[in-house]
Amino acid sequence: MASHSDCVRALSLDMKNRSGGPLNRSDRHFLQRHRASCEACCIEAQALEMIGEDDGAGGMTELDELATHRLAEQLVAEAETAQPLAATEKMRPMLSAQWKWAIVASAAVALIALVLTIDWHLEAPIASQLKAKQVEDAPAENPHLPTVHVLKGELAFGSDSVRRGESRGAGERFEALHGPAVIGLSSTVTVSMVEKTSLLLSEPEGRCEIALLRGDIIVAVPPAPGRRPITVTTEYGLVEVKGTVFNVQVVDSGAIVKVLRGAVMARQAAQTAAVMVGQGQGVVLGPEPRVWHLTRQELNPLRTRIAELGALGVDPIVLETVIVNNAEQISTGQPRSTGSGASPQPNGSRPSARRSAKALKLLAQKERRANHWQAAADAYANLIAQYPHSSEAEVALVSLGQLALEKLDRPAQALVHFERYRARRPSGVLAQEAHYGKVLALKRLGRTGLERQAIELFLERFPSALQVPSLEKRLNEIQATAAGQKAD
Amino acid sequence: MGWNDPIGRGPNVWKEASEEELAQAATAGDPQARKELVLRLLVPIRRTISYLTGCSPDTDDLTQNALLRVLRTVGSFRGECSLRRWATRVAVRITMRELEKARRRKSLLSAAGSLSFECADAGAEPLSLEKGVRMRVSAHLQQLSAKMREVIVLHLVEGYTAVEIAAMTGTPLGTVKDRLLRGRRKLKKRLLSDTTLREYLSEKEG
Repeated sequence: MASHSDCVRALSLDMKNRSGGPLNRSDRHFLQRHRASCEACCIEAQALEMIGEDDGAGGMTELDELATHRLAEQLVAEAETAQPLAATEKMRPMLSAQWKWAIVASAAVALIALVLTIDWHLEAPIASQLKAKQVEDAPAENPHLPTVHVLKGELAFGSDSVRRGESRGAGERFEALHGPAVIGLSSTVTVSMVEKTSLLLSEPEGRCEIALLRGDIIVAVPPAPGRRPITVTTEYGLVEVKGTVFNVQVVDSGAIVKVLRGAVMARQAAQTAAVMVGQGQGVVLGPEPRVWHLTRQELNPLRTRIAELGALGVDPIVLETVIVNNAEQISTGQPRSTGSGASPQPNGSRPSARRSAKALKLLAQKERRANHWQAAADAYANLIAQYPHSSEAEVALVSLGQLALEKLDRPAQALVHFERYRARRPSGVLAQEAHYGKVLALKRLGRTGLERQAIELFLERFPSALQVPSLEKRLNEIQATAAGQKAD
Repeated sequence: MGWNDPIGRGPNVWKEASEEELAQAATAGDPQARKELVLRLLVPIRRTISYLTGCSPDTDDLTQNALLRVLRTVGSFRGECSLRRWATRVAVRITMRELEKARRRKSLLSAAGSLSFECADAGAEPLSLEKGVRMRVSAHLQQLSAKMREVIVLHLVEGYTAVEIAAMTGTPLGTVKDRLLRGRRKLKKRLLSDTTLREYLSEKEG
């Protein structure tokens, strides 16, 4: 039976041993003998033995090779771009309290002036010239339906199709089924649509309204005095712009607006408060619109498409907007009312008892480990719905996307979640996973064109990623197929 | 090299380099060397921080902050100890500062202790024996006070002596020794009363 003094000596020797101090032979023998006879010291030694040989996870989540390399790259890039610490410290005393107040006051004055200017523009009366033109263009039987002129491509219009040079009164859903198309409305508004874009047009009370059901559009509105705002409605909100050019993209997620130049007013519904989205910013439409700064990767693809509009004689760009909407949640024929106040709610309803974000995350992880995929997806969805601004929600978007893609066979929903993460954190820690998930989701959906674009962007953004070889292979396959089809 | 490709894709020539060479190259701004530096330090730093913070989701953020700090200050590494020890010191300093801030704010990190057992028990999927033991030990560590935990983690995980810990944390040697002894006793008491841990260990022996 080991005595207490033996335990104390064993502890002392163990501490010495752990600190790299050499133990002589008798000390080592004592430790071995003591542990063999003292169960308490034996258990302690066994338990503590393992924490020194940990894999770096500390018993928590594990890092895989991909994540480690990507994290290393991001940190190096961040360390290079960040301001040197010494410089930051030197700057600090310069920002005295008086300076800070002066800066805040100047910013507030500028913001108020900008808001007043935009409000004045939005409320301005209709210019008689434009009004006359709109009345002239509208079909006599329904003054609310504008005439649509096809400037490029071919559009499905109900059961009919409209080709380049033809015109129709807008009454049914327009779809660009066979490649991109460009249409003109009321001779001053131009809409560029990518393939598979679908929209409804109307002009109630002289206001041009575009209900975006699916796809990706650029709307060009040359500045005109007294013009009423053009409204683009989506399931999750609407955007009002005036005298500008903006792009609207619909994939499978909540509504996102991105502004290159100028500003737009974005709101969840007609009567709700608007948020002003300025130049170089984006916003996710919903109950609490969130504004972020756009990256070059987000802006560059738009510039290319806008250049095409310029070739068709559209006025230079003042502003552009991207809206990402959830095509899955939009009924096939009609857009949902934007006044319902519905925010993007992933599947699953809110639980009656409100759990913390962490608790929801742990619940989702637990369900996932138990292979309860739907329950895990519900927990993630609840987390995103209840704590949309939390860091857990950001991670949950990618986790939910992966679940939807790999376990629930819902690639369209997966695309929604990946896109929402990418929109929210374009350079986030999981941006690579989200982008790769997007590629896989597009492949599963059979949207080869978009898949090719996504792969090319992935290869450009993440050239060192482990998925590069497989994506290059896939890209070659797509290109070979396209070449074969052309040859046929 | 593209604007979003600061690392490049060439072969990693720094994989076999010594710590001094790596530190010098990283100070000079070689992106490959800096990446290799992060890769070498990521696991030990994350491990230390995760034992200090327990199940907190802030572990990864703190690890990144610590690594950023290491990258920005690697020029001050003079080779008086190993690179890993130097970096661990930076990481511990950052983590303890954040833990102290969190304690004042009663924010996420301070709640780490209460979450640790939940985290350790949350696994519906059977854990490996080693991982199970680690999680239990980690959870018990979170039950110690922050200052005691700091000393114990530095000693048990990183193998620092009391003298080194005193120098690193700026705490009197006597205080460190006292915390070390009392911490070890408390931890031992907790480990012995943990039946789940005993099951893991008996299973391991079996």
